[in-house]
Amino acid sequence: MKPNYLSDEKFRGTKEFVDPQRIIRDKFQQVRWQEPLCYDIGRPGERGVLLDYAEDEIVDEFGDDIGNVVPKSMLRKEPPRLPEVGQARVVKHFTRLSEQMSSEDSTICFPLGTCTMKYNPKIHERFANMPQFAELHPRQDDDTVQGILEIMYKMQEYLKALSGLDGITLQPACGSQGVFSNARILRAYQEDRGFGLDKKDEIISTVFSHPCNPATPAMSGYKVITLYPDETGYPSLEKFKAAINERTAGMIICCPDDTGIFNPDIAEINRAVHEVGGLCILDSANANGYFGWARAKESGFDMTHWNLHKSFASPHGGAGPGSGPIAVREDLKEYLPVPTVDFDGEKYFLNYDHPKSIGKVRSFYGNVGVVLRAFSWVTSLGKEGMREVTNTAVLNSNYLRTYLEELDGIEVGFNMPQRLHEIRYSLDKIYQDTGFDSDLITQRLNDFGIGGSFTSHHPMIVPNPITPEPTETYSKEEIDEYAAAMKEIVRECYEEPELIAHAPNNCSFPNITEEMANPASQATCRSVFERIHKK
Amino acid sequence: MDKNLKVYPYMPNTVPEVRQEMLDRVGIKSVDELFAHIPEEIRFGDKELPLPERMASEQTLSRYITGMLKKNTSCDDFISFLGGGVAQHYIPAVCDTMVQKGEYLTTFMGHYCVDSGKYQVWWEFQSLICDLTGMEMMGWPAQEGATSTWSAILTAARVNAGRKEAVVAGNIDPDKMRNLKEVCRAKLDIKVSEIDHETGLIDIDNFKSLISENTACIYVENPTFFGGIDERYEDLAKYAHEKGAYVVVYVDPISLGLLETPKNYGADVICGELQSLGIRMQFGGGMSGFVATPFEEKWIVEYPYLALSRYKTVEEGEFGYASMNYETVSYNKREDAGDITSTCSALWSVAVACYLTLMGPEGLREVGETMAYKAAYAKKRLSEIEGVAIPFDAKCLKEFVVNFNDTGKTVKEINKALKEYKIFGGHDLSEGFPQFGQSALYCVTESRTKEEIDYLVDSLKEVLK
Repeated sequence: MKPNYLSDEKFRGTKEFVDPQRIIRDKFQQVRWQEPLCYDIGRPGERGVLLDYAEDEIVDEFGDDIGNVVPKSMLRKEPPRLPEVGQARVVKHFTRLSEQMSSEDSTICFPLGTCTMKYNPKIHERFANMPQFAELHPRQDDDTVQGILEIMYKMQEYLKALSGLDGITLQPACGSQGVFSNARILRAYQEDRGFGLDKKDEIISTVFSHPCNPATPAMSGYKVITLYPDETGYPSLEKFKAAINERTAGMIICCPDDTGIFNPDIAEINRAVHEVGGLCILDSANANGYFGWARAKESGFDMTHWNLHKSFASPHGGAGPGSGPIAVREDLKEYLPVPTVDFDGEKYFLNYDHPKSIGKVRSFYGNVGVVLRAFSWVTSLGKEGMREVTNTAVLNSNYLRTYLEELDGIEVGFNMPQRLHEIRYSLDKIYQDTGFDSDLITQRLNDFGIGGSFTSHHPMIVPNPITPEPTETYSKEEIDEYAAAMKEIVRECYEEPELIAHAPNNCSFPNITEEMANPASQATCRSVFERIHKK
Repeated sequence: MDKNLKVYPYMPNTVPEVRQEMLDRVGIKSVDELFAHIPEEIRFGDKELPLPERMASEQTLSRYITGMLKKNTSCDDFISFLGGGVAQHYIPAVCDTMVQKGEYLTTFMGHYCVDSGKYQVWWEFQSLICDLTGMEMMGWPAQEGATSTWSAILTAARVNAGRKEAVVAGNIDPDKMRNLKEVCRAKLDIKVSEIDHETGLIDIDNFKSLISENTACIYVENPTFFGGIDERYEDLAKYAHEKGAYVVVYVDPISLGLLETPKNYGADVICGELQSLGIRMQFGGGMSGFVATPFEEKWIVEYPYLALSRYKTVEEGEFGYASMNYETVSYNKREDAGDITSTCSALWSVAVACYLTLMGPEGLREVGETMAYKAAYAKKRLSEIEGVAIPFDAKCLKEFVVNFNDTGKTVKEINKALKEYKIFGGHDLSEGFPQFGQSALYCVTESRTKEEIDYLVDSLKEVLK
């Protein structure tokens, strides 16, 4: 009988690089439901759910004609074209579609660099679904929501500990809102000191920063100076100093950045920015590479933000809700968005008394459900656990590296040897030899049940990049499986190219035709689609 | 071997044997070596993070967190008449089932071939909002309604390039007003219209007087923050168009099964808050917005968020979904984009798609009628209480203003007393709109029964004695 390679003890934990054929899932097949659109199921007259209608006594007070209670001229003349589907069919529709996606809960691993895909603990969902959280209205009096305010206040204290900074807001709804808030605080601070846009209108960033890093200061009116890396993988201190001048209002960068590099000159760079009166903003999207080993404060930063839906284990939800809290140094606290969550020794309260606040960045207090989950996560890990997260993530990444570097055609991008929680590799040699770019190669990974692999943000500086991030929640076995799949795929590029050419082959949808590049074939909704295809 | 290594359920590679195998493979003795390159002056190293000790047991964690949450009083415990952007609407069970499903909850940026189910739901969401509003260009949801407000205004201003002003209705949420002024100040001069004291609607003549050849767009809401339905926007839109300004209208989408879509009275851009369509309140954490425009090139190139299109696949008769505007949004254009598209509120698009599919056109019309009847009933009964007045005569869908000036009591005092009756009274407007004295915004959704409304009236009578 053929041994079961996936469960047989003697194949696990071996020091030699295992034979890919033994541990990859080469028969993986995603389900393919060919599920129609919600519009194309059900028949007119079907109903998915019935709710209470207004009581008869109420209707009798005003009469049967709804025009007696709302302006007749405002009544909808044509009903909206919405689906009409019975409840069971609706459940099947959305359930089937849910089977056609990769998710952290099911995929082998999801090494989506910079997105920090990690296990989302299910105990947090139990908390978030309690009515004592889910049914809270944000306009309730403070004394009726002491529990959630306490959680938010304590999360603020955690974030102070992780950054070394002094003031926190949990209000920004995602990373880009966090960066945007920091940019607005920067502008308010500079304007207060007489350095409005007429005197200081430049923000320095690097090409590796998330697109929101330049986009958000630009929305505040700043010009963005983008620095490019040397062969080391980071712009030299000289490059930074050449860009820093009296018009520099501040700098926003990631450290470590998406290539996994911790800029060794960071303290000096921050000093140089401070010397011209600029503020230094750290984008902590890559916090998984620094918990317990570096903090914004000691590195010389004045502000930072985090992505709780990344580093702090709150689920991604497809594309949110997320949370992008910020931390600022003491003298910037007065600009924080209102309200802050404060404690007077006896009770927690929402404090609006901040005359210099930049105002609000998001309605009410932010994505509180995400904050709740992140708070539970940090609490469960504590001071030692938080450092262990980074220890494990960085070891996982360097462990994977030993396998990937062995493969012909894969090399680490740039020559800085030390890398942290994620590494940017180049598959350019494979591309030069076979014509298969890194996009296509990572798509083939999906055929082995492995989740999306990040290449790079635009612009792509490293040619044919791939940036796997095996977070701390992936086991050695799972990382071995990823490495085995990559080894197999590299072999296929040279020996069985037909498997790569139209990858992925075993997934729920085939490729889309080249027609997608034609604007005339684009349709964001049913009515445009029907018009184009003259249905 | 790393000292003091403990095992963690979420981190299997902390098992000592496994850790050792990995260290051996990498060729180091301890993980500390991986951080040695961080300059000593800034390396946190052996210092302890000022955090509490680990709470390792799931049971202890559960007791701790639920213990805190149980200190809260929710709208399931008390009867809530709170509104102002978020309200307790009825959530069909299927919506809860789907947003709690691990697949929808923990998915992220997979390739369109692999995540076809996710992309189809997102495309259906886009399409459902388009069918609801009559617009045809729609993408990812906004963070929430307030973000959609400034995003829609800035989009209209980019399309109307060269014009530097926007005229905004005065009867909107003061927090939203403050936010949009601050966000837009780099690009636009915001002019705010006056409010008509009789109706709570905008002073139309004043609004028109603020529109000039320099106005990029106007912004109004329907229903307004005070809950009133405005019938005069068609005329206002015509006037704005004659001056070359675009018309941005913010809606509560649950109203669009009953009420006319702004598309049919001159809107160029429609935006709004989606919470009413199947999203739990979550202390303000359950919110999602949208921006919808016509499907015309000038709008498409300035559309702020990533949008999906439906395309043919390589298989005959089959269709797939992928993004269509990557080049024109911030992912590609970075600082030249004018807005940001990023992680937003996509999970809630599943709830909204479920809600609209379950309710259908009839269900949406019925829930609109139910709210309108119940709100009208509540208004009528409240106005019968001595000292209580309904200051604005505009008809409403679910919200309206109640004035307590003649009771001699403040809204704060009244709401405090109402809590003794397990009622959350209407939102206090006295700070945001002092010109209306001791006024409160009462919200009556389909979740409120006649019995609860009658109980509110009886309780208020007691409180105001």
